[in-house]
Amino acid sequence: MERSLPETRTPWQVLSDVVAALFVRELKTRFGASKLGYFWMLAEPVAMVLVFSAMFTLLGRQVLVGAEIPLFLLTGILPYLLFTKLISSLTTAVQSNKALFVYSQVTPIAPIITRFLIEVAVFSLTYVALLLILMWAGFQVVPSDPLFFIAVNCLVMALGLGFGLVLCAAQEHWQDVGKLVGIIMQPMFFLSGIFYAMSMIPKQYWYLMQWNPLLHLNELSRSAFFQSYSSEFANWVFPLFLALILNVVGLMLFRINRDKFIAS
Amino acid sequence: MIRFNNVSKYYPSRSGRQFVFRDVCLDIPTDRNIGLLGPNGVGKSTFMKMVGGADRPSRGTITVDQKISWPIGLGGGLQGSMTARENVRFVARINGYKDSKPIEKFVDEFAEIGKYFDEPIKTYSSGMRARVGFGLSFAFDFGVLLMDEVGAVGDQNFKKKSAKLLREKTSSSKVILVSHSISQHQKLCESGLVIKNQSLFFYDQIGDAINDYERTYVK
Repeated sequence: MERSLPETRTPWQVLSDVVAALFVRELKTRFGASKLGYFWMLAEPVAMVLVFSAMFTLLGRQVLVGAEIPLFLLTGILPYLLFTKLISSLTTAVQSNKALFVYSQVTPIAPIITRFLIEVAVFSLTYVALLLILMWAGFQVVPSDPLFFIAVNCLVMALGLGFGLVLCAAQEHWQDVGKLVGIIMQPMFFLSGIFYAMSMIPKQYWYLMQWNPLLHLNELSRSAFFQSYSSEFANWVFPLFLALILNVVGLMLFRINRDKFIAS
Repeated sequence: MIRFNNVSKYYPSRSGRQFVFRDVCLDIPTDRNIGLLGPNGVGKSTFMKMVGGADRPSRGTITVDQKISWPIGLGGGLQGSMTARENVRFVARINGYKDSKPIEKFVDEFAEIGKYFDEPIKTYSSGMRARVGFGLSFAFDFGVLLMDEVGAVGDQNFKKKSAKLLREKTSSSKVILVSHSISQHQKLCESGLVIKNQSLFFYDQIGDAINDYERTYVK
């Protein structure tokens, strides 16, 4: 099953050359040739924050669990967007790059790495940009526990990557996985604590929501960001182990399926 | 040298495994041009894909000691949504060229498609596609070029030009050719490979390979 090529570069260099080439290619198709494409990257979370802030203001709320509304929304919306975008773009990563496997340098993991890096870069840039805008508007935008805050967001990335790897392999065997994921992701918007905190939900219903790893991560994200909030609900062990298991299983599936991936 | 070591290749189908190759052991020399002969559906493209690294054997190993191109066919390996220039840049990058300008210039001049070079490939005619694909494969120093039915398109001018370049190239790099034109095999190749009985048969002289092919398949 092995195939050796006379190649002066190390495998690591080949992979990073391929990822760099794919990165440029993906950016071009994602954001188009115009600079306006990068503006739309910010538009989606900004629109969501604005709409929900307006709704809460109309309802007469200025503060949620001791946090100012726009910041409270931002710290839930951005992890949610990162998570769902990672999953949807990784699920189709191999399929939409099939034609490129004709080049022996391009391996199935390369488009996964590329799309992961793009989503993480978009997420980080958006987060920084929006926090800077809020800072300019007079908000207190430094997380109360910055290291924990970064760790929680890294966990969101790892969880998205794990789900993405597994679903990408599943997509290879069953074409409709993408559609199914789309359907499941719809209620996730309401179930993941984006515009509410778990302290606002009666405790007797908590057991229903404990299976949602993103909800735990959003609660942790708020706990790390706001001095005033500490989540009774959130548990970091569950999402951490889920991410670990999914990544291990996902990488194994990638190894098992590599013949299937490159065959067109 | 391209070494097939117990190579089997099968595809799953409704009626079980469909074998294309079964336990092939063969050393194919890479110091000459080789013509690959066989009727449609016998496994010529599968052979090319496996040698080029675009597909893997189901069992066994293929080892090569040369840089081998991807299978160059009718626009094979070109991305429809990207322009020719972007395609060229992409291939240059994955081959480790930091500066892709000279390669872009070479392909641009070879293809002679003018401003279409910066239009998406999907707007091209098949002839234009072949020009770009051909030029791109010539831009790198491959030890072996895998050519799958490339002679079929292109006008007189382009054919002449690519034949000339191919002659220049074959002093340093060799060709494995798939073609249904026997005369093209006779003109270009010294040795031949015939695919039959899910195996590969090597002939030192292309004439012998053509004889075997005609005995086996042409009625």
